Amino acid sequence: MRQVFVDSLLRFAKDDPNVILITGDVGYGVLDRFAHELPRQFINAGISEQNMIGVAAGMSLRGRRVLAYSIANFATLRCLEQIRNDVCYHNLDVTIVSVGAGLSYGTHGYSHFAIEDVGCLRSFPNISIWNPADTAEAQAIAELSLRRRGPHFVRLGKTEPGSIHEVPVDVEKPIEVVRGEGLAVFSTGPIVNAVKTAINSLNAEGHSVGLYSFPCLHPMDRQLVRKYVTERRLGRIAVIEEHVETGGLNSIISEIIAGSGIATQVMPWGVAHRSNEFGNREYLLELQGLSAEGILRRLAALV
Amino acid sequence: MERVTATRTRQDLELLARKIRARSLRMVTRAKASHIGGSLSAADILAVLYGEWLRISAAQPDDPLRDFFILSKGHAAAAMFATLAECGFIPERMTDTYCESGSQLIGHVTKNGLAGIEFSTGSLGHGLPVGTGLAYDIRSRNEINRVVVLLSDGELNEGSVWEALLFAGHHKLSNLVAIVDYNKIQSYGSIRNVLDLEPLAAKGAAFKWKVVEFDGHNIEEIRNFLSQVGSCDMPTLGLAHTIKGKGIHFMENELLWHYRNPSPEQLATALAALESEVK
Repeated sequence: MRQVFVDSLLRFAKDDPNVILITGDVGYGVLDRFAHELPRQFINAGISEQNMIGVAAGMSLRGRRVLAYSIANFATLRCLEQIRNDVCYHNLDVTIVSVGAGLSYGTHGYSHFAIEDVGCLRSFPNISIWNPADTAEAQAIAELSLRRRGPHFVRLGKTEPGSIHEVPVDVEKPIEVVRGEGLAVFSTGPIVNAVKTAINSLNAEGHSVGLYSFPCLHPMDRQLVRKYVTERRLGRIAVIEEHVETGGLNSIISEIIAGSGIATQVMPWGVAHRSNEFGNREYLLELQGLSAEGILRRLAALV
Repeated sequence: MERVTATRTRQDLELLARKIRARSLRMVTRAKASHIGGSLSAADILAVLYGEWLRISAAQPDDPLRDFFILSKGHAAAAMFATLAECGFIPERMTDTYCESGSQLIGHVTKNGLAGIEFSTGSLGHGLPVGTGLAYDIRSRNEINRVVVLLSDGELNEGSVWEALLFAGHHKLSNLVAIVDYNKIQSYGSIRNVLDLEPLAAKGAAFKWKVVEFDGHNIEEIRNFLSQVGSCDMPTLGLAHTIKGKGIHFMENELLWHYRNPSPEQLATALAALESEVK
């Protein structure tokens, strides 16, 4: 997914010399080709994320579309005020990319868990937030976030998830991945793959659980969400995300449902802060009941 | 006083600085606003920049070849707006509404569609990275614009400033100028007692900037400093030794005037003092 995004970026940047990639000293093996082929459009800002965002803002004032790139929370939480005051408030053409969504950097430990970023950035004005589940979504998001004016935040997984979609998708709307009635799962980002595996198992046994992928978390098409929920009579929705339950997709959906008068139960299945669990992403998700098997167990208890 | 339109002589620039001070004082008094001390310390620097040195035009504020000025110490908004008014970028009457509800002029510099304001500031430490990005882009396109960023001394407590200093020095951004309004007092104490910046010139040089120290209230010294911009392969750091509250004797060097707004009586005294400076 990361590679697909960067390849799209490279194609874009070759056609448009106004596209600039600025990294906070990360990208070994991933950004090499870009740096080598387009050196005049590449900057390594060093491990100075506040300055990186300020520089990105300054360059975009002069007509550049700047992509500011780092990992985990470094492109976001480390420079949150710069994103707020310099980029979002001024509505600048800056795309912030963070590799390592959720627990991707598992064995690196807590400092590298990107599990609150959506909640934080969602509060800012003018920003679009994207969380692709697979390479098809990543590709479409790359194009949108580089073409469309204004600030963007793109949250990329690290390892390659399976493929969710066969065809190009409209990433601006929630995407129905599995049609179902009654119980549905709303999910987002690389974890959608595990959710899909779990739901396919359940539905193979005769159940009818639905699955929707949300590549765009903000701004959310509230009307469309309400439409899906009412038309498909989704009485119960489990929201599965690699993010804390506060501020991410769970909060987004809860806000929409709460304000609508629709009687639907929204169940948050996010990630909890657990200071005594250490391991890789799969291990950590398993402990939280968010592996494919864990999701299957929990959904089976509901159907 | 009549508005100065052509500013070339030292006396012209001194007059402009006095007008900036007078207008700032009236604005801050009327609005009961803070930060007059840091506006007064910057007035001479702003007079030389806007009166003469910056290649900008009130008639064409968006000229792509223009110089860029960013007030990173955004709380000196009164001085900035006063300067823009005296130089024809905004209507003079607009400064009467400073900090009023519904006004376009608020307590920290806000872009707000106003001519002559490149960026909104208010949180310290943001202006230099943004200016660095502008300078980097200008240089990458081989264009001639210069970028000036005015910082406060207390602002140098913020790490992001040093990130930008490191970046600009490393990339030899000779079109970039950072000026520190070094009035030696920050917002809850003196620089020396809170976080001593000395030796500041040595720090600037260590970050690969050309450092020039000068009297920030002496027009000729300010001009001499600015004449050195771009003369070598380095960004230029100007350490402007200034006095907080400069120009009004009862405000000079007093922390109190970082915050307090003058009373109408104090304003009258201050304006009279400025008038009496005219030789």
